[in-house]
Amino acid sequence: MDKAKIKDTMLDGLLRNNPTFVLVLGTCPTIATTTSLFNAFAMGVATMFVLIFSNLFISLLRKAIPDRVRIPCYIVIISTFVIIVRQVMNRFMPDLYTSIGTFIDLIVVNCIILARAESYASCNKPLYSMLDGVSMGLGFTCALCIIGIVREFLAGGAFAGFAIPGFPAMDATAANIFGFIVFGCMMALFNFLVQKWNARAKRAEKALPLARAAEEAAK
Amino acid sequence: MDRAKKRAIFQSIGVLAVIALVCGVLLGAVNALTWVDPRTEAYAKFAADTGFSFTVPEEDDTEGRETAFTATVSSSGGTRTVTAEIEYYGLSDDGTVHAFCVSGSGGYGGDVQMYVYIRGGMIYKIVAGENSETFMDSLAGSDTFYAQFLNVPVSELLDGSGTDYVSGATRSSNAVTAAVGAAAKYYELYLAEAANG
Repeated sequence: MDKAKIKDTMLDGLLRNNPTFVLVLGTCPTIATTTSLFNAFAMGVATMFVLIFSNLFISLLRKAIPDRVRIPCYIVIISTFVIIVRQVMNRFMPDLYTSIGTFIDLIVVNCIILARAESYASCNKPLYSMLDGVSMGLGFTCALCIIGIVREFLAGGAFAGFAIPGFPAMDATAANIFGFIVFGCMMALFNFLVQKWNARAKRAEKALPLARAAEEAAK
Repeated sequence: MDRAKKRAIFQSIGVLAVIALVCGVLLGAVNALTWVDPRTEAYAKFAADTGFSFTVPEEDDTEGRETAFTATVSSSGGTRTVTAEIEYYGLSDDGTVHAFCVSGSGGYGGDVQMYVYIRGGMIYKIVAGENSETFMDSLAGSDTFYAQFLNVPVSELLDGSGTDYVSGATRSSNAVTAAVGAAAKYYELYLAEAANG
């Protein structure tokens, strides 16, 4: 296994190509399920499960699936895992299913999953595809959780389900509008930080030969 | 159409069919693992809602009995007839609470499932079950809607007439009224005599 590729794949989903903040994919569940940290986390984990297994199966079958029916095949595989998540959640976590069940069904048409299937899993080995699922899923979950924490705290007057005394909660309409504002601000902040990080990495890369030369000269 | 093209088409259909078949088998296995008998689920809900214990009987108590009832309900356009059906009925182990899982038709988003509890010949508790109504929260938030049924003798709720509805949630209100009416009618028809001793 190529360690550099593993590192690249992991960093891609978490930072460089974060599905929520950089690629701006899956914005519908992002806005809808980030009203609380718990819902955001559950939605992220459900999406990650579907991403990992659909990527794995699509990658395993990539040579067998004819090009002309690849999209229907991907949809069948993705919807299978979405139904599995739905069934398990309905059976073992009925309260959670009641609150985010509609959006669990909509994972089938989540752009992140279809995009990763088409652009990564269909042309990479199963293990790397699974890793891509993990990194993209983690990136999505982290992004949802960050937005969830901010929204729950500022719009709901609570943290992780616990109400903060004396902190007013917004009404439903205002809280939904506030969700868009938080999403935009978080996206701007994330991209600003990633750009800074990239610029620093580039500077370090440029400085590396100079530093080596200086080191050798000192020797 | 040349042979290669035909072969490619059949290959595509074959691969898609095999994938669909394998996915179907996988889903069947998951369904077998996660499926719960809806009757058992309804009894668990009875117990959770009331705090009384309910044992699932071997035979269905509603078998051979009339379970579909109609009610005349008020709405902004006058009155209309709505149907409700008793899905499950249960009696608490101590014999004091009669529990009904009722499906009321005519809701804005389809059928509205309601859990209606009768104790001592009066409505003891009403809890909303599965539904696709947008305005069920308005009913729960109303101070008067559920209150008009609670602690009212069952005999006064048989036809649904005279019952108020929540403005803006008329159809949801009507479905709930029909569900309560159906539970009341079933109780009067089959259970009241035995309950009164």
